[in-house]
Amino acid sequence: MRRQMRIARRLTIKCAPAVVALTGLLAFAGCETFGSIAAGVGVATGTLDRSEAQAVRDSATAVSRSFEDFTPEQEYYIGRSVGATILDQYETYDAEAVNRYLNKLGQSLALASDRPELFAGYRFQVLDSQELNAFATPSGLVFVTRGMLNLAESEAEVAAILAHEIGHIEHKHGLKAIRASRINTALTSVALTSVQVASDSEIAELTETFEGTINDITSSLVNSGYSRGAEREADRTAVKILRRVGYDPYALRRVLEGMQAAWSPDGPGYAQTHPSPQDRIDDVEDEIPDDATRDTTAPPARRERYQAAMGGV
Amino acid sequence: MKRLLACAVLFAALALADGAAQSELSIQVREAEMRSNPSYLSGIVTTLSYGDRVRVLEEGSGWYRVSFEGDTGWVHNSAVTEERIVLEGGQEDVETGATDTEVALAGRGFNEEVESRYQSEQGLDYSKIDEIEASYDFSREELAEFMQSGGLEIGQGGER
Repeated sequence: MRRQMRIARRLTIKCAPAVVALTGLLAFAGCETFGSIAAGVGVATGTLDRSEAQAVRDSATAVSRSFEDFTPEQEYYIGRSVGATILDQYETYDAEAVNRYLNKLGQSLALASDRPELFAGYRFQVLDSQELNAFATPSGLVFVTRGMLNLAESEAEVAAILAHEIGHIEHKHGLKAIRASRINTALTSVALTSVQVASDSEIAELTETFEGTINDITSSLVNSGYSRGAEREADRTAVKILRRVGYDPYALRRVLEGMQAAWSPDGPGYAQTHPSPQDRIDDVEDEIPDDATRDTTAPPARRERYQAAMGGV
Repeated sequence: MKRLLACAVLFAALALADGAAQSELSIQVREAEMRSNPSYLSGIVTTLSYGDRVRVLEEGSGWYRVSFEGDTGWVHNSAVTEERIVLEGGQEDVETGATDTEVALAGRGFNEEVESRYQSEQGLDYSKIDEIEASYDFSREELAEFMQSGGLEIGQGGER
């Protein structure tokens, strides 16, 4: 309630200078070049009537939208539903020790990414599956299977898996999977731009677009997989993050080698959803120093906490 | 001539207004911590909320030094947007809403209402998603402790 009042107060304060500006604009209506600017100012601060707002809306819909135009709040709602859809197909593995550890590790890695702040932050959850797989939703929810975690042999390798998923979020790969026509509909729909509270039919229409959006993303995550280019971007981001915090980036290569050994082109999970691990190694090799030059010693505290958390998985 | 002068004055006024608008940013995440230095290790000055408009004082690598209601500190650039985010506090605010490329309406588009309709149409269960969101919300200090005890460095966010 107090917060609402604070918002209301600020909105009121913001309006005052704009009203003055708009009055000025109307007085000098001869300067037609200012028409579009005036509309923008007025709408943003609540001084336009409905027909004028409609005009602004029409001009807004003429602009082609891209995945970049989704706000973090929209990403949040998209991601929640992508997550719920994934959990419709996978059981969670809720052992406290490993999920707590994964969240501390993953949230720390996210702070070293170029996108440390999301609408509601990053969360990490183990899935009870022996597939080699991991998924990142646009909202910052990262799922990793037990099979994938078991492939890792150190904290740095778990970090490599999580950092790769953070890479997908940083590059908005989930949103890029949404069909362009749908993005336009989603971001210019009546329910989004109307000055009125959306009607039931408008909400129904928007929900249909939402459904298509969730389907585009989940089918890309679960069935078709990201392109080789997207995987390369996520792997390169993973190396960058590992380096920034001080993990051996070779850990990513170790994970990819382990996946390659288990890989079959028609196998379940990762095999279907990604380019081959060998392709990925080839694409990121120049970023990772040669095996012989690396320092493999991890402090005892790091090894101990890894063992304690992963022991039962 | 008079009219030309008026236009010129207006041009100047708008240029100034435009300059002022560009030096303001909106918080685009639910909560963002304003810090005393451009680092997740530095102290929290205050916590900013979704839609808060902050004034830009300085731009560093990946961070902005900003001021808000008398407080001054740093926020990471992933927490802010150049768009004005219009919060819909009540019916009157809803009436003011519209969108162009510079204005985003909070709570519009894909929102709770759409989610709940989608949920019932699909028969999906969101309780686990809610539970995951509510769990393991570690503070930056806890994460710093985790990294330091593992002989690692706390991330400072990169540049976007």
